[in-house]
Amino acid sequence: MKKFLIFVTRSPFDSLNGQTALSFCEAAIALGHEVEHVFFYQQGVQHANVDIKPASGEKSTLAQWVTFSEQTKTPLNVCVTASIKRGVLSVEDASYMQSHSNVHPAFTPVGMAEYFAALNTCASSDADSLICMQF
Amino acid sequence: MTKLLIISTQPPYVASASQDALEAALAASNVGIKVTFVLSQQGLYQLLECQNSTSLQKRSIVKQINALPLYDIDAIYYVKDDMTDLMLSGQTLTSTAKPIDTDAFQHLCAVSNAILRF
Repeated sequence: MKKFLIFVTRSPFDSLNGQTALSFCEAAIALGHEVEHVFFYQQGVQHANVDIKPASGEKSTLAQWVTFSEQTKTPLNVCVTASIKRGVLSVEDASYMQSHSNVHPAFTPVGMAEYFAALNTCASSDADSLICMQF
Repeated sequence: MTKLLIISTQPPYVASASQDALEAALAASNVGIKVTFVLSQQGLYQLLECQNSTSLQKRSIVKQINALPLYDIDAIYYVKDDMTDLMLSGQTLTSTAKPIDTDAFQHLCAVSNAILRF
């Protein structure tokens, strides 16, 4: 069994990277592998943005991520620093900035160290089974 | 020790990629990961000593690269072949980064636990 760490850096509307990442995660879990967590960085933080509405008739990537996370219990972590820069605000940040929060509750705003701590832990325990994928 | 290779391929200031790569490097080093930072393709422009970001009101990328050793990131390289493609001279680049050839770059890719490309 392999253990995957997924790193998404593209926005849901500029590329298919997020959609590909999601399909990859679903396939990996279906084949018995483990997705440790999905981390959203750079423009990838827009996947957590509830203010983004897909055009009529198009699929919502956000809804698909939420369903995936609920069904597989895979954590969805979004970089808090990258989010603030791009106007994707957690409840805490929104309160501080007297604005509204637009991070979907299925996504957890975390520091980038969270991703690297997981990488460190996985690599230390079983480096051979660890695979990091960037989309 | 976990080995992370960060490849920075974009020029400074035109987008956030160069800054995002540096922030990722610092965050990884903070949790005890051994970071190797490689600049390739147009990322070599980040190494130009003569860059001035004052008018853009951005933090200097080359100054941040020069400060990486203070955060235990000593392995900073650039791909020598790309320097030729961009018609850059090694003398114009910061000495913090050392040149490597394509074989050495491939070796770094092979021995790293994880690779992030910006």
